[in-house]
Amino acid sequence: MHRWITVLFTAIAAALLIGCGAQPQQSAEDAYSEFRKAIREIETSEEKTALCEDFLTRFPESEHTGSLAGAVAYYRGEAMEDPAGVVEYLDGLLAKIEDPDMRFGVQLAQFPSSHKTGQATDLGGIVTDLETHRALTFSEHLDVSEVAATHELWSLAEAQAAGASTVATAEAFRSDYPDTDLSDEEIAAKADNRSVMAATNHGWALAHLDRETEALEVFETAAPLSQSNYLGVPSTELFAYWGRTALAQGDAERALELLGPTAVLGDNDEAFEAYRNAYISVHEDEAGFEDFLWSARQDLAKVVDDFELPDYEGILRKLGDTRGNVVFLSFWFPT
Amino acid sequence: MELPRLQTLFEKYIDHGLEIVAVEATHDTERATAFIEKKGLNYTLLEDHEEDGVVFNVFNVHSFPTSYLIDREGRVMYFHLGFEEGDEKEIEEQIKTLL
Repeated sequence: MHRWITVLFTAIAAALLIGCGAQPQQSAEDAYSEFRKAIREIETSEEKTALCEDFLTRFPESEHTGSLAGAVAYYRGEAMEDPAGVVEYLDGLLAKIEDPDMRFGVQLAQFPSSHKTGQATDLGGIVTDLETHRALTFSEHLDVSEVAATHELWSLAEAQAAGASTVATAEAFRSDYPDTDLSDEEIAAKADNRSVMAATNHGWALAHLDRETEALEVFETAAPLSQSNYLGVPSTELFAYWGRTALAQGDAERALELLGPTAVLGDNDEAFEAYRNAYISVHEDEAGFEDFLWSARQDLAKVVDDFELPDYEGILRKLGDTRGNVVFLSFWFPT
Repeated sequence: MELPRLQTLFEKYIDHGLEIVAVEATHDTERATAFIEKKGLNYTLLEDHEEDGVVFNVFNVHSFPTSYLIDREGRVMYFHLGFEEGDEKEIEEQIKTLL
């Protein structure tokens, strides 16, 4: 309803003002604020796609172009299962865009759909086009390496992951976020996390290029930078991919070691599958797996910290008071 | 908000010794209180709105919702990131192993 009112208002305003020689146009930022409100209120993928495409058609070149192209690729391409429609729509959009940054974002978003419809687009070429203007950022290197890996373009995935590793520094982070108010320590932690993400992709790509020794070296070098979550479980995917690599190379014992915490307490389905397969590989039988898993769970389990917080009646409640019962403890952020 | 789905789980297993504790990093107590009443939630809902509070500083939570399933001895036996439709089934199975 809101969208139609906007369109109607703009049309009337245009009609009234054109006589005065003025060009009334809602600014891209105002339109984007409206877009953000509207998209939260609608439910279907069709409506969301229409809203994104409406914005892009009106404002093909804005700072939101890349991310909205990604949204179209998701809503129309995946949710609505219409990759051909994505290719067509984004081709139309590309015809209106000259800025190389925006072209990159749109082409990258379009790539998976092009691939699905058998229209070979050169992902490496998309990168080169941008590189003639400027170096890629960490996020761009990482995004390309992930898209390349998904489509099994392992050389490109490797090169881009290596590129990401090179710019996973504190300096590069500050350059990406010049207005950040994070401390030096916090920035160093962000840089370490980026190094781990890049190494994860890099090792995985190297393994698929049969450069196994290098792959293992990359994983091993990055391992000390990997943070653990509250449960002492790796909070990155490094160990999951490292473990899966070890398993693929026939080292099932090592795989069990590397995958254990992530598989048992990490909420990661692929790691869990690989862990189970590693177990079967070592024991040649699935029989004792449930017991093995239960035992691993016991070993990893940590006693939860007690805390005291007020409920909504203002009464202070202690988590420790639940001892003796089974507790489902969850942390929420209100939407 | 998926908090109402926890209510169903709670009612099913409260007599078997299940407790549910939902901690919200909230800044709008009134809105939360109204929501709780409206949805008839009667498990334990707590508020953490200190910047140096529990949620971020002790549990280091950055993705929401993050959930821990704790056994009778206070040990964290299962971990969940997110709470999609259908997750309740898996969580229920896990609860049963601990009851």
